[in-house]
Amino acid sequence: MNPQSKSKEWKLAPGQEFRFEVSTKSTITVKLKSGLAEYFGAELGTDAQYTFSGTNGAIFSWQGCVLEVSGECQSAYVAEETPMESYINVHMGLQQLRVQAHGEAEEGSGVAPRVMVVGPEDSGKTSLSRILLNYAVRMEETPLFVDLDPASASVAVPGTISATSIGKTIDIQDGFMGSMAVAGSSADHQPLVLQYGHQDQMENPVLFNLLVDKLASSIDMRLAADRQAAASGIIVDTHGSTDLAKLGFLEHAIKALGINVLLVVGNERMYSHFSSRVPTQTTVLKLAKSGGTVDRDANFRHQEQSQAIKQYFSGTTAEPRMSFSTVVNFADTRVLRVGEDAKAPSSTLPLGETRKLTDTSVVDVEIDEGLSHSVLAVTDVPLPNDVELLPVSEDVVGVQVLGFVNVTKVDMDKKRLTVTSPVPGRLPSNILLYSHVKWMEV
Amino acid sequence: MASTTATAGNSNNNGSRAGAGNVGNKALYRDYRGALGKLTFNSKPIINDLSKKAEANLADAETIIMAIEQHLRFSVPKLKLPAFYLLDSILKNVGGMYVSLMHGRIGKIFVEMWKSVDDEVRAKMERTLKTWRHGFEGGYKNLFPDFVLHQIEEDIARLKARATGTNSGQPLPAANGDSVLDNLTSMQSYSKKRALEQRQKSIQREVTARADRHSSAGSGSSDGRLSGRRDSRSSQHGRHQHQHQQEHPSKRPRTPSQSKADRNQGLLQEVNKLLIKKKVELLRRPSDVLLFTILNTLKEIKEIVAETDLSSERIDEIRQQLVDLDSNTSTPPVPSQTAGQASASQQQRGRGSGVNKRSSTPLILPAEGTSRMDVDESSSRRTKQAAAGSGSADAGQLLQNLMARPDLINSLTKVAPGLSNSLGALLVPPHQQGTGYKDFSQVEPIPLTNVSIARSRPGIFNALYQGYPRQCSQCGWRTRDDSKGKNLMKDHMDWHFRRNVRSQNERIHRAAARGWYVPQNIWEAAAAEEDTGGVGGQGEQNGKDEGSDEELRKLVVAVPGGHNEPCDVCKEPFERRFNEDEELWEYVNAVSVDGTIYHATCQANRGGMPALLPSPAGSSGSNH
Repeated sequence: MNPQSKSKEWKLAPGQEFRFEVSTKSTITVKLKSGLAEYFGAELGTDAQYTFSGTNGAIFSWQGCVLEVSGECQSAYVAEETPMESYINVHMGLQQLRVQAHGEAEEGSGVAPRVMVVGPEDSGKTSLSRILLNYAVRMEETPLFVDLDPASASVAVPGTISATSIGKTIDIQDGFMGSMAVAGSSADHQPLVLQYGHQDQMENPVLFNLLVDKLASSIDMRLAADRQAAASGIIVDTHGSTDLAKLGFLEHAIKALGINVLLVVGNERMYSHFSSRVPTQTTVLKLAKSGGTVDRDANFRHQEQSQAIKQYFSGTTAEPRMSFSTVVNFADTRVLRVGEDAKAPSSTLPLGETRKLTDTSVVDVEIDEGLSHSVLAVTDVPLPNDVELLPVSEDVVGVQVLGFVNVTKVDMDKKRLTVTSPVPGRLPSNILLYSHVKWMEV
Repeated sequence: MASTTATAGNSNNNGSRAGAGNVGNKALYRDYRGALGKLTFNSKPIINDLSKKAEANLADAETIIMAIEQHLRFSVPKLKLPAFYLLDSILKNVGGMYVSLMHGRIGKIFVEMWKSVDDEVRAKMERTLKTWRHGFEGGYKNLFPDFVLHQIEEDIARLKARATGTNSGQPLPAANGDSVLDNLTSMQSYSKKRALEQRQKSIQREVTARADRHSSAGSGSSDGRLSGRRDSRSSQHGRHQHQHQQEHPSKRPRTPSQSKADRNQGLLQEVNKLLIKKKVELLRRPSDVLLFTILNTLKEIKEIVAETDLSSERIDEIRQQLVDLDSNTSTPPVPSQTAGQASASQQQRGRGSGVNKRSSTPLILPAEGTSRMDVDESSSRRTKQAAAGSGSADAGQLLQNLMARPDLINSLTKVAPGLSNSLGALLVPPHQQGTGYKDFSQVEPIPLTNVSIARSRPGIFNALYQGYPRQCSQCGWRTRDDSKGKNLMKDHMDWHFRRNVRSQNERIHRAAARGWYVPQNIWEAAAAEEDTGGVGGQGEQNGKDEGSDEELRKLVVAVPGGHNEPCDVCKEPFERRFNEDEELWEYVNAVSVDGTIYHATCQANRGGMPALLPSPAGSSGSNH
């Protein structure tokens, strides 16, 4: 514990890691005084100061370093044991596959690593993904980062799955959201985001798997169009769970995305589960989880999600964004939801019974106060000629989300919605996709 | 300013003397000179601060320029470049008065500085000069009139011609001292080296040619360093030669010792002979892994010998190793061991060798494809064990001895960046970090197996660090140390600079809009880059458009009678200004679209919406 906000020096020997937890209420500043250090694979600049708030982080040094840390940490310590040696071995092994794939890119026969990271909750999957992505970027690769965790909010708001080409180091302070802003120089590094609308796959398993299929086919199209990027491969982050029912989603995704390297972090049971179930071309590796992973409680996760939505609309400290208030009339707007609502959870269904096709049918959501604070997805779905008609499922399910609006006010008298939008003026389409994710600017 | 460095303080005095006579605002002059003293490296924050200060003191532009001019003239060479970048920043970002005041003297300042700095800084200056001509940030006009820039370019070209055209060159201060000396040395021995060069070439040819044709291998004399070849080739070009010397990491103080060079050369011959002998052996036993490793080892040793000035003791050591290496490995290694290890690693790879459904090609794990050089870490370990077991010395022993000499290894990794995998793998001292893995190419094949990835490979991280030595201090980003990396880093620094400038602007004006994500078909085609026009107000785009943003802000609309609405997009009120010529009030930064008035900048943002989307009928943004 370090209750004073006075600055303190931390010395790391080679291979050691400085771990810290900072609450949302305080902020710490970290500066690299000497030596070399990295934050989940992103090297710290010598002239930079990094501030962290409401996060758990770890600064690792291969060579040893001195850090100057000021501000109040909930906990701060130096760890000697880390799994970094095995993580970097994995990176080097993957990189060797990439080099081969690049070499064979011309003939189109190279097999790029398609990596998926799985493991229980809070086993450091996203951190490992981040390390592997950053190391790949260092070696001039542009891997595709696929986020299949609808509860996480790495790239976009929660309730979505996404794929993003990572061309620059993932920002130390701002994470994936910051790095997208950083990569803003080229729209090439913008994400493909699909709206799921729930945070739990179990809410609508059929829809979730369908979205994974759609994402996979978009990824295949993109990588076919860009062979160099294809050789860099993909790295997939997933929802953490050891629940057998949920492992099925991962098995589905492994097949859909053509995963050939499966990294199981910190769970023997999952390792043996997948070893016997994955396709033969998939290599299954087990990795130790970092001792630095912290169990995030529901409250902490909620804060992370709020933070992500806030970042979507207002940007990050380094890359502030302006959002705009727009008013739309009820009459001109349709909010659609995919799948029936208020059904019995699938766990109550008889064994072997699957949900019906209605899971992906499109229904209108009535516009009323219930929409307050919803984070709705904006699409470029065309409006059917006949207003009475519902758009067909194919036009709505698994289409790129252009962005999100946050409903700030529902005026039932004037029949008008006020929404916060990332772009000024009219929305590109008057069809919005519903999500159970809600957020209120505080 | 009280805390300037000794150097800066010194130049400060000089500057005061030189500048005191014609400086308008003495306090500002001293203050600014003091601040310049802190600009000891290319620090964007300091440059930004000083640029802002220059902007704030536009009325005293003359004084500021004087301060920078004096600083550039009197500070030590390494402080000049940051100050030059500051000047560049002021010219580009503040402009106006500063540019007009600089017209008359930029040429002199530029050329004077160019003369006093080394090649690297010169190249940077010239790059900056180019941005003055073609404008910056995709700009449209020259910073200075053509004749001013032309004069500078001409002067530089003339100076360059003088430096390279004749052997005497233009002895430029400090930085080039060495090269002048080297120049003379190489000139004196030019013809001798010419002969050596040919001989070296023939040696190399011989080594790579068939083994039985080795009888004519050179009986060298003189300096045995292969680099002598380069020296002689470039002896007529002092400048280029200087670069070579800088690049050459093994450069040492020159103590030309004929006998040592002879010995070096003699050793090189011995290595070559042994190499050839081993190649012949390999022809007979093509599958002998150990032999192959030894051969690679020999090649590396040859490089060390060829590229490094070795002390006589070390030469003797290496010679002894060669003898041992020769005698002990002439007997074939235990074949069963090789076979055993092959199958072991096969098993280890286990699951990895299946067939990928997408491409129906096996997922080839690195070690498998390289049967010729089957040196995954297990084999190299075994090689070492076998080596240790086989008595006094062989490849492993030699390597162990090499490892005991970190200096040797360092010079080796420096002079032979393209180390073969095998030696790279063997060379990593087990308990020592900081050597080996200088580059990714040195990383031995790492099969993706649980055993392999759990193994500690000390120093492997170096492939991520030493392989990318050029680092941005602001964010820690690294690139390679080649020209591509150089350019990438320059773009990167420019990006930092633009971003810093922009975030300052943003604080004053407003942040950029996030914009909409790219439409799906564009994402799938990976064609977003070509189609950024269809993307919403994306951040960097706004950055690039800053010039046109300025133009937009100049647009005006006459205020319609009784109009008092805010902008329909941002809901902010308009700025009014009275136009005296027209004798009417007008809104600044405004455009009228279909009778509705918007901020010109807001409207431009709106226009950035994807054009391919259907224009929605009803979702009106109005709330009158």
